[in-house]
Order: sequence, then C-alpha cells, then structure tokens
Amino acid sequence: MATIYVIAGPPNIGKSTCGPYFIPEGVKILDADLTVQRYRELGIMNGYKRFEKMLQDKLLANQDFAIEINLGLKRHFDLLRQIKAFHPDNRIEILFFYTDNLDICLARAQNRKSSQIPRSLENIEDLYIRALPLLKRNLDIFDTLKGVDVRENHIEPEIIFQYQYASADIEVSEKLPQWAR
Amino acid sequence: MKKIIPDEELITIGRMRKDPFIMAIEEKIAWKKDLGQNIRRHLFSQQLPLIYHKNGQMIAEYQDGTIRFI
Repeated sequence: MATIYVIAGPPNIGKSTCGPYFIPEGVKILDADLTVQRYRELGIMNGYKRFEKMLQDKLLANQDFAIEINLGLKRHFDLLRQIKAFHPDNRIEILFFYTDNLDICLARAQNRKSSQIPRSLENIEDLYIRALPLLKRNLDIFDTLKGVDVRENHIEPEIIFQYQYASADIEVSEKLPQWAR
Repeated sequence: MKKIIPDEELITIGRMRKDPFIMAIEEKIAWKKDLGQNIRRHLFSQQLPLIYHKNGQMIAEYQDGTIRFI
C-alpha cells in the first residue's frame, strides 16, 4: 500500500514554492504544469504525456509519491479518481492550499515569468471559485484532507485543520478562516 | 515519448521532517522561520519577488531588500 499526496489549490497560491515543505522528506512530487511548461520551452507541445508516463510508473512501482494539481476543473478530480481506482488500498492525502484573499493569487500571477504557462486573471479567479465546491463534492476520494491557509500578515502557509474521511473526525489547530467554515 | 528532459528536472522532492500540524509551539516557530527563509531563497533564485498581503496592503519584496507596494 502506498500513500499518494496531492498538493492542491488555485494557481499562484504557492503550491510549488511551499508544497515540498508539507510532503514527507524524500517523497517525489510530480507536477503536470511544470512538465508541460518545460517541454513547451523546447517547442514540444505534448509534455502532458510525459507527466502521464511518470504517474503510471509511480503507480506501478507502488511507491509513495505526490502530485501537484490545482483542482479547479472536474477533469482534475477524474484524474484523482483514476489514481484511486488503480489500487484502492492506496491512501490519498490532500493538502489543500486556499485563501480568503484571491488578490494574493492574482498579484503573484502578474509577477510570474513570461516563460511560465500564461493564465488570464479571469481564469485564475474562475479556478479559485470552482476549487472549493468541487473539493466538497469529491471528498470521498481522500482519506485525509489537510486545509492549508494562505493568510494576511503571514508569509508561511499554515495547516489549520485535518479531516479524516472514514471517521469524519476533524482536528482544528486554530480559528478557521472564512473559506474553511 | 522520448525522455528529452531527465526526471530530476521535472520532479521536486518532499522536505518535511515532521508534520507541522503536530509540532509543539517552539518547534513550529523554528519551522516557520526556516520556511520563510526557504520561500525567499526559492523565489529569489528564480528572479521572482515574494508577494504577500500585510496590514491590508499587497507587498512585493525583492532579493535586494527592496519593498514595493502593489
């Protein structure tokens, strides 16, 4: 049995920058956006196939690994359901980065390098709005959900709750932000 | 497809030694301090500013210490 960690949240919330510090030491993190971007820089447009191959290899090896994904679209959850179905005994643990302040994501997006996959601010807002209701509708995918808040006056994100799906137990570390209530 | 880019360039590695959710207060303070330094190092190495919201104001902090209100 393996544990598959999912680093999720809207674009530009800090998944790539901070995600590794919430994933156990040594666990490999696959990132579809990064893979697509690196291939695109070489003029190759089907980098997603490489991501799919790496994902398949990890599942076949039955090793712990992590993937980074924004979870703003139904197809993202479809992918996670496929991963879950591959080996139903595997545990899926999600670290869901979110914020009450969309402006943080938008301001960060405006300062991204031009080589990165461009997203319009409207697209980011759309993914931000969709992510939470989609997550709530698909909670059954995850054995554990950790809510990671990106908040005002703090550079470092904070795990603010941990939810166990099987027992419906929730542990809260401190006052919850609006989005987590 | 051909492996034009090696795995190491497409994969990052987890760095968590202890789950911050179960850390004692003193441990978490030290962990946050390290994380803040690592966040700055990561962004500045890519020539990106650190952007955060403080006291109602969006701030961009640069590697040379410049602070810009945005």
